[in-house]
Amino acid sequence: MNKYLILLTLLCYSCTSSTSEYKINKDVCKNLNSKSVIIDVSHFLSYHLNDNAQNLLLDKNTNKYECLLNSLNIEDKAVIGHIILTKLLEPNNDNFKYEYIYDNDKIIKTIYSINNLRWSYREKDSLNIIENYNSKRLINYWTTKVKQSNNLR
Amino acid sequence: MQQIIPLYIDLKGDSLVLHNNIAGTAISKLKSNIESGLGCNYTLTTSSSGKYYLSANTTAGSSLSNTQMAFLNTMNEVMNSTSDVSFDVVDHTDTISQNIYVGDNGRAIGASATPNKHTLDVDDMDSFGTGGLLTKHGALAHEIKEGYDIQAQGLAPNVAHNNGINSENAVNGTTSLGATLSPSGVITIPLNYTNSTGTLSSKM
Repeated sequence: MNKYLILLTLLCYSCTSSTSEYKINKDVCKNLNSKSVIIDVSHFLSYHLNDNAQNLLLDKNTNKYECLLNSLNIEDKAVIGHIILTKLLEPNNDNFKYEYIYDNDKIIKTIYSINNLRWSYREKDSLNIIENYNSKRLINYWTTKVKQSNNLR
Repeated sequence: MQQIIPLYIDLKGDSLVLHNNIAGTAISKLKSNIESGLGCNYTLTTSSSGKYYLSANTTAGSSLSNTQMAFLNTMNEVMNSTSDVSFDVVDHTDTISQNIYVGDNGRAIGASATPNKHTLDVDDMDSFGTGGLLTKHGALAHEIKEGYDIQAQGLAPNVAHNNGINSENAVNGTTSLGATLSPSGVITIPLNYTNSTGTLSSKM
């Protein structure tokens, strides 16, 4: 009897989780922004993804690539889109780099980069600003990579 | 260039708070790091209130190198703070040490190994040594300044970190240009020094 109860519970869980998975995916897409990438400041800087971005990274739906490619159109979303695409399709290039910019002896800016995308965080409006942002070039690059990965499947 | 040392700093000893690790081994290593960073011209002592202060143990006219003076300036700030600046001190005998890379200011939400506590890993610092481009004294100056700026000055962690880097640069006589963290855990630090550029790599 217990075994059936467990099976039933698992089936119900799987029904609800697959239904909500689609919703989560759409919400996560909408909510990608500069806060999706959290820079952790300690002796060294590192970064992690917030829960929304982490959900998208782990989401099994293949339509997430559409969401990620669309995110590259908007500068503030493009950083997280690029990072997730790097983790999915070019994990060997997932090197986090940061660079201090000095004015005399004082650090005035930090530039972050992952997989050749360089950005800084602008405090006044809480936006990620990409250096030489070119959405077309970014989209072309990742569209090719997504197609290549689909062909491999 | 040598600089005449100030003989006394913070005789009240009422601002630097250090918490030792469980084994009771970490603070003595930190004391050794601080005192050697000051050319053994000062002694770190506990005041009657259990807080820490530095007193000069040399005669007037003794001198400090630029590096030692830069380190003293950082220590002076925290010693003369009007509010407490507190650090937990651990070494490699502590399990938590595995999750702390040199120092953890406790403010990285969701990523800090010691939330809301600034923790110093003295054995990590000691591994920098004293003869290279990055030194244990520079690493300590970075952490002390960062902790002071967050706890006493109320600065945001990123601003405090940048000020910590400036202190580290002054002690090391180099300019840190940032770092690269590879997925395998290797940290590479590019530096400017005496008109040259070099990089150091270390697996953390």
